[in-house]
Amino acid sequence: MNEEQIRDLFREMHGEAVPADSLARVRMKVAARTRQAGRWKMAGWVMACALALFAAMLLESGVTIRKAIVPAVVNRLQAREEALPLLPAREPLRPAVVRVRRRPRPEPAVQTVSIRIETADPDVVIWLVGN
Amino acid sequence: MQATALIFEIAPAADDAFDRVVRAREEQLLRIAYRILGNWADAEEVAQDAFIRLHRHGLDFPNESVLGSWLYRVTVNLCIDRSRRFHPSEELGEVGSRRLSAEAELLRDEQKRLLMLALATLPPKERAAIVLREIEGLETPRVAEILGSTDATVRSQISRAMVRLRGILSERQA
Repeated sequence: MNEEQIRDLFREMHGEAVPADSLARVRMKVAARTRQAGRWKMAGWVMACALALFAAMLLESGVTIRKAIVPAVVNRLQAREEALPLLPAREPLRPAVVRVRRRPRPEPAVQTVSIRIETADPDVVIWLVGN
Repeated sequence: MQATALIFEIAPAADDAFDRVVRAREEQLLRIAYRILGNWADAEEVAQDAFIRLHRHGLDFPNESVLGSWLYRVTVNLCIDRSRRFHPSEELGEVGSRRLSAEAELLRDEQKRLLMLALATLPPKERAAIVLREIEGLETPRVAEILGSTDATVRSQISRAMVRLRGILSERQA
């Protein structure tokens, strides 16, 4: 068989009909699978909607509960606080003051220099004093 | 609640369009799958899987041609995967009948059966190239696009496949 004959056979194959039962089976199974997938998708949406609704209801009921309970609790606490005896006022606490004695700083030693000059007169003595 | 109502409204329209695509393409896909895989049972499963993938993907294609290429690509890839996993069966019965004389018809049928058996021995990619180019009559660039390769590769695959087919058929006929 040469290449041209092979090509002829291929061309003939293109025109051949597909068995009707195969087509019907494919169509049926595809329809069944897509319907099933659609049902799952729908179930998913319904679940999501139900969950959203449930969440909204929960949120709403939570707000309602808070609105009903919080003021009551606050009022009760205030009442309890008012009922308590008043405590004597305490003196404010001060931190203890510690006095620290400081040592006097030693004064810097100043050296004085003095020079005694005796004059000829014994009653006269000249002192030169300097720091 | 509004969202649920909207889905109920949209769903039938989308399903109608999908059904139309299935009816328009089922024969083509089944034929390609059968020529690549060599038996109807596998071809039916591949065609189903291809349509289910289309259903999941949605019909958001710019035009019919793109949709067709997408379906061809999915089908051919599914066939290649399947033929790598399983060996081709010996079913290969011929489809349809022509108004030839009984003897000529028998001879023609036998030739086709042999050709299909020879086709089944080719590597999956070469087989797909031959089926798309020679049996489905698609242009080489389109075949290349579907197979994800170049024109040159497709041409070389087809030429190699034809040489092999000729060789196998001459052996069998001898």
